[in-house]
Amino acid sequence: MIEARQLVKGFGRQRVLDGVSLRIEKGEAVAIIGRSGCGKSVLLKHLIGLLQPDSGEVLVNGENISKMDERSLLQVRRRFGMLFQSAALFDSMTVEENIAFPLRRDGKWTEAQIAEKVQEALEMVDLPGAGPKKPAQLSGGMRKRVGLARAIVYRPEIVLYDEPTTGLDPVVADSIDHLILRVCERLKVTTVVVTHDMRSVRTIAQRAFMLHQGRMYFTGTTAELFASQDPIVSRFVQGISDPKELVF
Amino acid sequence: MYEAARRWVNDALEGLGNIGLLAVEIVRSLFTVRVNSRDIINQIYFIGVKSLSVVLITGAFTGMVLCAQTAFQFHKVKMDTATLAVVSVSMCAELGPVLSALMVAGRVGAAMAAELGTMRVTEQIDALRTLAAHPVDYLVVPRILGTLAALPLLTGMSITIGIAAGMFVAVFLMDIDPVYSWYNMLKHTGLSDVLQGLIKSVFFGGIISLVGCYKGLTCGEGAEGVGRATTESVVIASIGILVSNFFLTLTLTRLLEHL
Repeated sequence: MIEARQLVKGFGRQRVLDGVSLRIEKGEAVAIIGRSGCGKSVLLKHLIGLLQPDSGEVLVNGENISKMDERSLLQVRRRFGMLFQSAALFDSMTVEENIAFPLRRDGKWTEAQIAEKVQEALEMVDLPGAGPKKPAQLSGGMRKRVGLARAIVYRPEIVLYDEPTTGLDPVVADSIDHLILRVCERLKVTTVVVTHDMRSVRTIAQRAFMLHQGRMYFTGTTAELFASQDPIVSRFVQGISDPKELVF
Repeated sequence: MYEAARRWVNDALEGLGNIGLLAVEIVRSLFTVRVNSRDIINQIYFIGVKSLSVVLITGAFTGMVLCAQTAFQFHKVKMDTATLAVVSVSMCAELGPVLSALMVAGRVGAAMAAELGTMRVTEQIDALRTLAAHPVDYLVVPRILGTLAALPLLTGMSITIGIAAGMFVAVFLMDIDPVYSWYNMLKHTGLSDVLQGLIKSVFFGGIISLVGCYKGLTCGEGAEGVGRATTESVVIASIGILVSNFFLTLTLTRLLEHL
């Protein structure tokens, strides 16, 4: 279970999160949505302790992680896997080495076990045989798949996705959505997806949180989100700009 | 004007404080986390072997020009055979360590800042953190240890080649007697001079790697941020080397004078 209570975070004079609270139950698949720059990724990074709030707290299985130092956080993060927007693969390593990295850091696996787990993870993301390639040789969709394989190879309890379909063509984006769904069902992990792709929300999430101007504007099931009559929510869901507002 | 000066001092003090905190984290990591020896060897190879040609060329031509200039001046007062002694002491205590460190700062310090900076802007450092790896343990400590091991070796080689090149100039181009030159060199160059150079190189190695890693880990966004971090790492490390060299000379000369 992950819970954020009254999170406040600012960068310089800009307040990005202004008292945001949410609660995600074990095994749930949720989406965090909102306009670009509304603080979705900042919120996600707070949930895994990559950012510390100015005030408020984040609880992971009841443990407050917002006051922990980096070394204590490393232990908490073993429960998490995270797929970054850019996949964030280590470009000096091959695909295999990238996926094996967390297992080698653990130090409790033999090389044969590591090879087997890497192969298994590559098969789960439909990339068998890509192991010897370097990240620079991969397409955007393949990079995301490798990033996902690296995030799940050590069987975390919670997987966070930061805009997993951004920059991909609709067909590849759909395949990534189904991959996320497959990981969620097979590994029984808690899934948190930050996105502004409404098709992803429909495919993956059971519940949705919408951030607007630094605050939690909407919380509800995915069905409630798509049925909402609230002008801000419905305009976002349908992708319609406000005529009074200049949007670039 | 006053406001700009105040901001500059604030930034400088904040930077020094943060480098201090990074140094504390490095020491903590050294005592609590087992470093992968392969990572250190890779760093020694990159820092040491790959910098060898640059450092040797610098050392050789510095020894040669120092010898030629000293010989021209000493010839006027009929002290030609003391030329090599000046070259030797200067190369051991000052020029060998300082010039090697400046060359390594330009090559390795910049590379560290650029590599870690790129990793930061492409979220690879955040990815490391999510995979339960502390960036200081995995990225900084091997680079620090690699530089601390490689720079004294490079300095030793630079000193040796500088003296050898000076000897070549003295004997073959300046027609100075090799036997007296060699005798005077050994008479005036002490163990303290060699030790001073090697101890300095350890300090300089620490400055280069610490500044390079700090600038990389804290670099700004985008290509501009990486470029600025790279430039700043070279400038700050070079100034750090030159300023600390003065204080190290004063301190080490007193500490090592009885050797």
